[in-house]
Formats: sequence, structure tokens, C-alpha cells
Amino acid sequence: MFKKVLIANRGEIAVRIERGLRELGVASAAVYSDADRDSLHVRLADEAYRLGPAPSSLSYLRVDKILEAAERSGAEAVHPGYGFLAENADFARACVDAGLVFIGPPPEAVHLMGDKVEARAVAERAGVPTVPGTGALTSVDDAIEKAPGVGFPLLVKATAGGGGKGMRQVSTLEELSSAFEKASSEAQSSFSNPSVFLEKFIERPRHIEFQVVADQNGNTVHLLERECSVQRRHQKLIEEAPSPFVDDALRRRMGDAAVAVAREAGYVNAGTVEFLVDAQRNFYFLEMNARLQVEHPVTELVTGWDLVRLQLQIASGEVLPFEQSDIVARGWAMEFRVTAEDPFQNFIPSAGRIRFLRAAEGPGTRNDSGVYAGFEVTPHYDPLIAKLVVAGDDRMHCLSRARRAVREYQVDGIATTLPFFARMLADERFIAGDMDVSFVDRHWMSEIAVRPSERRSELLTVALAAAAAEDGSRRTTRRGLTAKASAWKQMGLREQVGNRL
Amino acid sequence: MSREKKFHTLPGGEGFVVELAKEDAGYVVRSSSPPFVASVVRSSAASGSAWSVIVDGKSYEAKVERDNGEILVEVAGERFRLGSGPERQEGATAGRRPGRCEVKAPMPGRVVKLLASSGETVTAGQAILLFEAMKMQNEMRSPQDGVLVELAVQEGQAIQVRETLFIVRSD
Repeated sequence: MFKKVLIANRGEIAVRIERGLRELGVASAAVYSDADRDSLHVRLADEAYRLGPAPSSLSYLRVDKILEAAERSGAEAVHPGYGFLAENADFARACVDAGLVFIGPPPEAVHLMGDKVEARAVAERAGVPTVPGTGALTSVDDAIEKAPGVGFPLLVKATAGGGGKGMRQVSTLEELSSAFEKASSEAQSSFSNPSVFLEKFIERPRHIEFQVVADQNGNTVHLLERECSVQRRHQKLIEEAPSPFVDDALRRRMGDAAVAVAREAGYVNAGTVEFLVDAQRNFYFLEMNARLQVEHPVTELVTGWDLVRLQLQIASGEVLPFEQSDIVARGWAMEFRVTAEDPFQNFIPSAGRIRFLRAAEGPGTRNDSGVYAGFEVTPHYDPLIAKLVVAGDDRMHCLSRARRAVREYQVDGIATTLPFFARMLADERFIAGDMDVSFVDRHWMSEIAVRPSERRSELLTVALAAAAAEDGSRRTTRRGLTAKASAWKQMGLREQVGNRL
Repeated sequence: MSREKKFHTLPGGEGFVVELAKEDAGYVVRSSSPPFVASVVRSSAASGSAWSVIVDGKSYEAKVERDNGEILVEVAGERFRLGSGPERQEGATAGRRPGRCEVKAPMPGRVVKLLASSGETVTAGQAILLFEAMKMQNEMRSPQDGVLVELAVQEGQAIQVRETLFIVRSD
């Protein structure tokens, strides 16, 4: 095992990796931007090195600075987390060239899976069905020519994409050129690569993905599925394992397909094979994420295997401690992404200081967080601040635990997705496991967010009482609280946003 | 000593009058319509405004924020928007006069592209500009039919929260 590992990331995932390292007796070296000097991941690390100013292009995306920090720290390996440079093949290659172990797949596999068109070809070679689509497009005219062959509706997607960035849905030929330009420009700003392609849009599919792990000795095993259909504009909000839609037969077929894709790609370490599944249980390879996923904790709670620990063991040359037949689901787990976004205002990001924070605790409850009370959420980075993960004996038990935990969780000073979860957990369709990737877009703002509560008059009383008290306290402490009070909507007034972009 | 506080719900304008009294641990809020007596304390003196509210033996937690004269209260997954005073006043909403609608940046960001030009006749829902914030691009749309009387920003410009983006005037 390594003696020291550098974490090329920030926020909750850097904290998660630090925990894994400390449990193995490995020293952790964190990196930080000026905006993150006081972050949890810096405080909890054994060592910390400054990268540069707040914008990620000047800090967390600076390969040279990160390698410099690795050298100064004497780390033997680099864990990239997710986002930033995690799926950047040049970074993986630069680590290897600098004599560092990249805790992830080999640079060739990162490259192959990072390119959506190449990845589709890998899946096809592995005999796994893919969504009909095109290769990388050369121009808007190329898109217009090929679109009718794919059929409408379709998606314009960045070849280097992920997380819904650089992606646009198009219903008619007329919308295509504007969508092409937007997707391409977003792809350029997010991934420094404007290349896009077209893919047939499958009506109301579910998003179901399989966790795979592969060691350096050629053993590849999947750790069952996660259902991530509760998403908004391709950003996942709730994930669960197992999927309420997958039966044993489908699980076997999809699991085999996931392992086949990983093998064909020459994949090593932890990765995720994503599928779209239609109502008839046809599944299509979507993409492979060559990294640890945000939602990995649900797999950990259901299978009992610590994925960060496995990643470190695999990277240091150890053999997988299990075979496929050893992997069984125990109970049910769900993850709720607590993000600094206002669900009642169509998930507009909300920055500001967290003035009060009480995470949910208690039975079957895990909180993977990167923040604390007093922490300033800046608009520089991803709005994910914490992940609430709950486990239960079965789905109903898990749901009731989730309701209890969401009620306990209080974050004040910024808007968060917690009220969204409270309402989703009361929605009959979600309770029945009846959802697809368009569920939130179709039902949230227009219906669930505005549905009058049966408890409205009762809760209005509480709201009036709280408003009156706040108003009273405000007058008596005019110079203190009032001056500092920031509204949810008045985001990041202090931030020099111009820097970030 | 108690003070009277007046609130109204937004939108809707239901008016309420409550009595607020300071006590050692926090406040007592009384109302006759609807009838209730509430004990209200801040979660801790030093930090923020997560309030504990007890009404008729029932315990709640409420989050209170101010936004441009409005009071936002979140309790049990519900959000209430309240205004101070007994009822809604005409023209109280910032930036909005009859016929004239000012669209402001919802958060800090950057103008990627202008999709309409000053003086142009626009329709409700028409995309006026492309705005990028937190790495996502979104179209900012006209809230009403009318004339784009002012386009206050340029392509590439960095925008602060609440900065005016454009103004649409209906006839």
C-alpha cells in the first residue's frame, strides 16, 4: 500500500478520499484554491498545498501545479476524485510520466471512455446495444444532413461530455443549428473541446448504471446497479440501489454487459457503465464513467464494500478480494444530493454563508459532506455540498428512514434541495418506484413544487410566528444581523464572478 | 411589552396581525385570527436564523430569510413568501411597473450571446440572451409581449447578481 496519496480535488469527495486513506494508514495531501483555504478537505488532510486563485482554470485544472504539489509532498499516487481532471487522459498520462500512480484506469482507457464516440464503438465490439447515433460532427451542416437518419427527437451531445453539460434536446430540424451551437460552445467552455455528435432520444427511459471494479490481474466484477432516474436536466438528484425496476434476469444481462464493456476497454480500477432502459426493459449503453461516481455510497451501503478502499488496493497492485458470486445486495440504499440550489426557483444555484447546519444522524444514516456551519459556498464550483445516504432493510424501510432524515437535516443561509426531497418522498409515483429521467422536468415545477400542502394552514401559523420573531430580533440587533443577513436569492454578492469564467 | 406585526401572504394577500413579545429564552407570538400562541427561539444565539417554533405542543423548525423586502419562511418542506404590512401594495414588486418589466440577473455570471437587439418587438417567452452561470448556459426570456426598450449588457460581460439585463415595455 502507498504511504502518501495526493488528492487532486476538493469538497465532499476530497473528504471522502481522505477518510479512506486514513483508515488504511495512508497519509493524505490535499490541494486547494484561494477560495478553499478554509475548506473541510484542507482541515482534515495531513498535508495541504496551494494551487492558485479561485477559478478552477487557475487551480484545480492546473496539471502543472498539481504535479508540483505531488512532488513537494512526496506522494506516490494521485487520486483525481470526480469532475475536474478525473477523466482527463492527458492528466492521467502526465501523472504516469511523472512516476506517480494514477488511482483510476490506465490513460488509454480514460481516453477511450472519455470520448463518447470511441466509447460507443467499444460497447459495440463488446456486443452491447447502443443508442442509435452518429460519430463526431464536423459542422452544423453535417448535423443537419445526418439528423434525419437518426430521427427526432434527438440529443446533441458533447463527445467529451458528462453531467449534462454540452447536451441539448432537439425536437425538430429547425431547432438543430441553435442547439448545435449552444452544445458546442458549452462543450468548449466545460471540456475545452467543442466536438459534438447526435444520438436518438429514447422516450422516458430510466437511467440505470452498474458499478464495476477491475484489478490489474484481469479480474473484473460488477457491484450491482444503481438507479439514477430522478434527475433534472441530466443532473442526478436521487440515486438508489438496487433499482426498483430491475429483476434478476435483467440484472444478470445488464451486469454481464457492463463487465464485457469494461473488459473490452482494458479497464482497471472502479468505473461505472451507464445504460438507458426503456419501458420494455431494452437497455442501451450510454457511457462509461472512468472514475469514482458521486453516488458510489449507495453501492457501498448495499454491497458492504468500500469503493475508495478497493480503488487504493487495486492501484497498489492487490487482487480483488471477491468474485462475482460473492456480491449480494443487502437491503436498500438511497442517496440525496444536498446542493446549494433553490428547488422552488427551478434549481437556481444559491451561494452564501452557511449560518446553521445540522446534518441528519441516527440509524442507517450517512452524511458525506464538504461543508460546516460558517462555511462560505462560492459560485466558483459545483453546488454539491453534501450527500445524505440512508439504508434500510427494503425500499419502504429506506423511504421512511429518508423522510425522517430529511426532516432532521437543516441548512440555513443558503437554499438547498432538501425541500425537494421532502416533497419527492411524499409523491406516490416516487414511492411506487415509478419514475424515468424526465420525471422531475415534467412534474416538479409545474406540479409537485406548487402542490398545496394538506398542512398549509397549520404550517402558515408556524411561518407567521417565525417571521414575527425574526422581524423582532432584526430590529433589536440592527447593526449585527441585519447588516449581515443575506437572502437566498442574493447570491455571492462578494464574489468577483468575472474571475471565474 | 408587546409589539404588533402585520404580514400578508404573497401572492394572494391574505392579511394577518400578530402580537410579538420578548421573553427570556426568545419570543412569544400571539394571534387571534387564526388563534394561536407560539413559543419561538433561535437555534443558537450566535448562529443564523434556524428557528424552533412550538405551537400547541407541536414542535417545528423554520428557516427565515429576507429577500428584497419579502420574508421567505421554509418549514417542513413548505415555503411561504410573506410581505410586511396588512396587504399587498400596488407596485411593491421591485423593478416592475405596469407595462414595464425589468429582468435582472438571478445570480452572478456572464453574458454569452445576445439573441435580440434593442428596440426589437419581442414576445413572451422569447429568448433575449444566453446567460452562463456555474458552467451552465441558460436563455433569459422576455416575461411579456412588448418592445425591448433596453438591452443593458454586452456579449462577454461579467454580471453581478441583480444587475439589470434588459427591460421590456408592453404597450
